[in-house]
Amino acid sequence: MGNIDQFLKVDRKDPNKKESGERIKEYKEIYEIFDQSRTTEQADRCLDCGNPYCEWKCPVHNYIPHWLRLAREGKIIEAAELSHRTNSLPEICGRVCPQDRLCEGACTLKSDFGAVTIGSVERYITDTAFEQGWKPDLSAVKATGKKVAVIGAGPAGLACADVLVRNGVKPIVYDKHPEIGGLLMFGIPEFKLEKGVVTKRRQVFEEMGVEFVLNTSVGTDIDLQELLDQHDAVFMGMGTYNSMTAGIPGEDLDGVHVALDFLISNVKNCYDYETDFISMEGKNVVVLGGGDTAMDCTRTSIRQKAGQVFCAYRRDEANMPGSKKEVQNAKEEGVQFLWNRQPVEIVGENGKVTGIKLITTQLGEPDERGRSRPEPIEGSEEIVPADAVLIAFGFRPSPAKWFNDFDIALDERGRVIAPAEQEFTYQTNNPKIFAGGDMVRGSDLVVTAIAEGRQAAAGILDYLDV
Amino acid sequence: MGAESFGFGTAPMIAMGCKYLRICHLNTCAMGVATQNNVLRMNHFIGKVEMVMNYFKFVAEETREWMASLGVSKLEDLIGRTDLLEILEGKTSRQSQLDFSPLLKTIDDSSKPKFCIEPKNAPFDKGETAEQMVADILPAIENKSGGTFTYEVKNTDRSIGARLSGEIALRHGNLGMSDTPVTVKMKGSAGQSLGVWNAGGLHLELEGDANDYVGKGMAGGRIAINPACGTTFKSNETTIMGNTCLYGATGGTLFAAGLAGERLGVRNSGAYAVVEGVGDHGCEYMTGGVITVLGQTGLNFGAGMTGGFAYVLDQDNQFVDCYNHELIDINRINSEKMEAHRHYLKGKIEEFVQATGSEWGQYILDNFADMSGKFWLVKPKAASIDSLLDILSNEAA
Repeated sequence: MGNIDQFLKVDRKDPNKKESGERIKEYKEIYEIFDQSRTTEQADRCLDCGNPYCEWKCPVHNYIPHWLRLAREGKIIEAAELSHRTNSLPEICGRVCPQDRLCEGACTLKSDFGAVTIGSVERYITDTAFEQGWKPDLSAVKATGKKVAVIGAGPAGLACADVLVRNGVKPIVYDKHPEIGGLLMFGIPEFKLEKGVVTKRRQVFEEMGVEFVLNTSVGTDIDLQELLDQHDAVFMGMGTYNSMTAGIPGEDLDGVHVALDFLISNVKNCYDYETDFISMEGKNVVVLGGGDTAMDCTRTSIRQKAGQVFCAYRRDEANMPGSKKEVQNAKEEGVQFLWNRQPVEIVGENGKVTGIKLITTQLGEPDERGRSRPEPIEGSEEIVPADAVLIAFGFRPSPAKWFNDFDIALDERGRVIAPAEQEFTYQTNNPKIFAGGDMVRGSDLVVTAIAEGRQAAAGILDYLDV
Repeated sequence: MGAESFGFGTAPMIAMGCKYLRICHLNTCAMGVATQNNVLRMNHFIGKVEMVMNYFKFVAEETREWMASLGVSKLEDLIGRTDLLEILEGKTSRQSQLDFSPLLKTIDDSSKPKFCIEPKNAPFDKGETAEQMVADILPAIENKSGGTFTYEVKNTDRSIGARLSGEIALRHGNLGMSDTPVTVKMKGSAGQSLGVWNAGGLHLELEGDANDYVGKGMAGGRIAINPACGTTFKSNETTIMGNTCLYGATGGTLFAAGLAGERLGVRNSGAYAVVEGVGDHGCEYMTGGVITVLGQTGLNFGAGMTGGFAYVLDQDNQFVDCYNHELIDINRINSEKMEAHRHYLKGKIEEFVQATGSEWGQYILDNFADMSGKFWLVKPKAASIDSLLDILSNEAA
């Protein structure tokens, strides 16, 4: 029995963070992992609400109060088992989820006492269970003889494969990249998610019976028809890869890059994969955008030993869409913020970037989503000198050319139509093809992709009648 | 679809800050709604009366809007009007196959009422004994003159005393007649809820035994029960009243020379009691008052108990396994600094013996120097022993 009034006695304590001077020298996670005594102390703060708001808010509906209790009691294996009942990648969610907007944001204690450190405990559970040699037990699973092709080894695809293999259906996961994980591997910088976590997960999945076919692009290296012929169903979790642009003059200048190209090339460079490496070493960098991807770009540039790194955003700090925590981390690491600046033009000489023209904005009436509209102030243009400009304005769907050949219907924004509410969840217009994650809902969180991958797997199991 | 009355429970509570955490029994309500913890109540409760007023205002307004859009002017005209409901298509093919028609069928027979028009269910117990008491005693209440009256009771006489308490409260308030009490002496076996909502100024003395709910919601006065004259059994080994006595009591005194059933003193917030033993779950959720048990308790004593305190006589050292360790602790009273508690306890037992003639109580008094070492003082962990003494001195004053 824990202390029912622990939340009155003990404050929320986040995991220790490395000093910024140390962390910018390396591509490593910046938070230390909890130990058992800190886990016990913090997990004990949970009220164990009969109506756990954290659990409802979580897209995969993790049994949070239950595994907090198991973690508190030191029952790590049981906690890991329970954690994997609802989540395919808990150690990754523990690291990269914006908990302050999800479980911890919904925590009853948040308003008056400080939320329970759910993410840190989640990470501790699976990391520790793996350390203790635990792996998912599939000995009771009966093979059905059915096979499903999964296109994309990102969070949606992995989650789908996880549920399928646990139900005796063989998943074969195809991915164009040389390693699994999709953006987990190549998009999210290592200071948020070390790549050893992803490769460990690959090993776990392979032992569970998931087969990966990497360096293979569907449509080029292998035709979808071939996959349809060889498998009982197909799941697509291919993400959204079309970067939004600023729509201003000068975007084609040498030295202007979209965020994802930059981030992917950095990871690939670190791991000796073939890539056109984009280096910011010694350069003055301006990152456009105010989301988490923009922060990833600024902080990666810092680690590449860039000169000065600016982040320009068209609203004020309070209205930034990204995690407050990430903005704070970026500030600590030396990123300079230019609030209320809207890009007007990227300027250059001889085809190369030399700076960016920004106009100052003020916040006006709220738009249809309730956020204040930035309004440019006439005559306030300035040019910030820059050797490189990184555009982090988000992503649009990137439907493959071959979708049309297979009756895969899209909505007006290019997203694959695969509704959750139908007989077979996340089935596309082609009955044998299912889809989930960003390509269905538009770019979103890792955990929402996991949730959809899992639900699509349930739809596939129903469809295959297993 | 046919409901003709409705109640509001949780929703208005949520309007004033409840987050529906369902931990009300733990005393840790972080919203400060369902807790006795002063820090939580003072610093974290955000509720205001106006919030509940607003909630009901909106409910009424929205109800009116719906009724207006349906062209219905009285709430009663909505009862049973299933024809006003629309059936949704359903999200899956299976849902769309559901046939609601038996559920939504209306019977077109204007000779039959659409809702209950019977005023109420007549109870089996006509309350004749209780009415006789009112007829006999009302003058003494009206004149505030007190007096002693004698009756025989049967176990079909339910809620004996409630009619008198009502007449007292109506004229003098809950405690306004405490100085000139009416004493009702009874013989027999009382039915359920003897002395329910007992008012100050009503003393019930029963020779015999009683059913469940003795002193439920009691506000003041005194109830004393002792075994019938001529019985040969030992009172401290025999049950004298049923379960859930003093449920939600706010004041008054209950003396029973015998064992009480389960859940004695549940949700008691101010009543005093002396009994010779209790069943399981004694003092459950108790928030105030003092319960003295001159013998064994059942299991789970003091579960959810956040206020008040108890004395328990534990002759064979079993109590430690009987009480619920979550919120309460137990302390001996034979040390020097517990003198005040010993004194208080002895006084209560003396009163009890005087009211019931309990031989067991008398035995304890006769050997009090020895017996006092076998009592436990049971109190909420959060309460200090000193604060309990304050309660005692307040009572003395």
